[in-house]
Amino acid sequence: MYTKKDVQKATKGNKKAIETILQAERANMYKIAYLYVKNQADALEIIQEAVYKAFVSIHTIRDHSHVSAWLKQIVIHAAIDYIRKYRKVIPLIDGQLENIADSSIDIDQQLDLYRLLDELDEKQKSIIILKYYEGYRDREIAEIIGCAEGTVKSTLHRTLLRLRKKIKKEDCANE
Amino acid sequence: MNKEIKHFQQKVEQITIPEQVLEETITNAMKHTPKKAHFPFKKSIASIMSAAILLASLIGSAHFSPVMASMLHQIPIVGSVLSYYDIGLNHIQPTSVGDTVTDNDISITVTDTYADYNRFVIGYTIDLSDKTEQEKAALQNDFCSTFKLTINNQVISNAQEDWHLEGDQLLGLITINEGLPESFTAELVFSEVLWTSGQWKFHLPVEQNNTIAVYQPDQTSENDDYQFTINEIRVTPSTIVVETALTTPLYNETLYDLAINHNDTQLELLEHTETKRLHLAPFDKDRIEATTSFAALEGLDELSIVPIIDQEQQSDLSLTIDLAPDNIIALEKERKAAYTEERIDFDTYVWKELKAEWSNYLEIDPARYQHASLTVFDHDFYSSFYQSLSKKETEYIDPTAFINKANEKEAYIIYKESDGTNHLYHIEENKKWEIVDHTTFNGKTIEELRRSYQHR
Repeated sequence: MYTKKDVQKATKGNKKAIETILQAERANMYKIAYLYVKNQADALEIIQEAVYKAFVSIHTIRDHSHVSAWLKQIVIHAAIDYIRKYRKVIPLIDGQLENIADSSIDIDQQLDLYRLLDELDEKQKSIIILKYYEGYRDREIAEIIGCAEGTVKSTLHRTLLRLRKKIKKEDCANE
Repeated sequence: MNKEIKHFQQKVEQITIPEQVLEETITNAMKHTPKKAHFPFKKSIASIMSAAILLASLIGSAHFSPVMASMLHQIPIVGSVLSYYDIGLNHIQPTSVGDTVTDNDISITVTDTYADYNRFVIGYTIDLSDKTEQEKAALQNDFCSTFKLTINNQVISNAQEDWHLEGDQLLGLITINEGLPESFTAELVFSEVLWTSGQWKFHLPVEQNNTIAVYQPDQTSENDDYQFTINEIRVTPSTIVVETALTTPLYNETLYDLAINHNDTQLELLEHTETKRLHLAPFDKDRIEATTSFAALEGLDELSIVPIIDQEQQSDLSLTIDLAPDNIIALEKERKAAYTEERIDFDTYVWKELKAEWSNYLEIDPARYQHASLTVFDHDFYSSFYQSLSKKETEYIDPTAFINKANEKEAYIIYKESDGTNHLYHIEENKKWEIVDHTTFNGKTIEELRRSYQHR
């Protein structure tokens, strides 16, 4: 837990207060980071970067009640930066990855939003996480990730459409 | 759909929080923050100021100089003025391309390329004239493209992407900060831009017209706790790459960075990569090796290179390097042989070597297996696999997989530790992927692989 006074101290650069806030928010921060990379080592790297980013910009916080959302935003951007920076592309013969991916996923495995995240780009991931895990409104999501509200709506629409198609495909395969 | 959303929320709630390691990560990260919060030193005020002054002088010049006006026209192509302005690309001569591809009503134009032995950049524009002001403002902060870049048919994995808006155009920059062949063919294929899927394909033959000057000053400075060594400097028109080593007290967890000063100006840092961090317990020391690249300036004759330890410049460890032509130990022509073969990145090289070691060990035909990322397996499997790997103190090569092409039901996963120990897992799919065997065998050490990669 942290108090309004901790936030005030933190915005003035008090390291102890900043750490108190970060430790209190660490579980939420980690879950978001983990959703982007789905492994502990990379998620911790993102947290490390997010801590630094939070430290250098915490003086910009004006509203105590926004700290949690602000930290989520920091983690999201740290995760996006991390994925872009360490974007690993494994050379495969053209088309092989898709073939392997399609054939190796057992049709009786449940295909859900959590798994679908792996197929989305950074921005689409952000929108799904903020909408369906954090429960933000479209306008709030647009503010957090810095895009138009229409982009959020269209991305959600396309992503859900994709999910429905996959579920339908799965159902057909099971019949 | 509500069922899927609820299921998603439950899955997120079930993510295991590694409480202790997470707490330590935050505590350690806080230890490495500056004593007082300030803007990151990476994009130094000095470099921004010098960029701004230079831009201002260029804008002034453009009013009366057609040559300057032409040069100014090229500046926005290679980066934004404040956030991404890179002075190293200001005085180089890019090659005009001007190819435009349109798909799904979106036009992308590759405007310029530039290559020298330290760096390759591609500049492109996307027409935004049909976008609203709000949509354009959103792109200023968050533009994402999906692209594949190959050099001589080899996928490049470490390309960096920058962009900014200029009027009705998005100006993008793709950069590779590493050596490339003297001439090569790049292929750039965008598969998604502006949240629209499509295919925008560019074929880009590239010829380098520049030299690389290599210096090996081998200079060292030291104080009570630290020893700082500059092993090699590679200078091209766009970039200065410095190879350094820093010796610190054992387990000091030093945050190491580097700065170059030239005539009271701090050169802009482009990339800093720690290539090695060793704990030398018998000597009670840690050793950090790093490769750092900076944007070059014209007319450099002498550099003052300063290690930054825990965010503080260590002027007592500063070394001055004379870039006089007499001190150059090699020029581009002498190094060319190392780059004439098709260039692949280190990860790809290592994976090829791992494949050879693995197939020799098992005496099987590697052609029967397809190289793949672990993400092709189901999430539960690769997630638990990664979690089963103990956190390594030393460097190791990430696990990679080879899948039997014939049935896609059998595969091997292999990863390598620093001392050359290979961990080999035989896995099979029986409804779910599972490990059926695990063994270890010796192969080349990572250091040996690094040396053989550099001297190919």
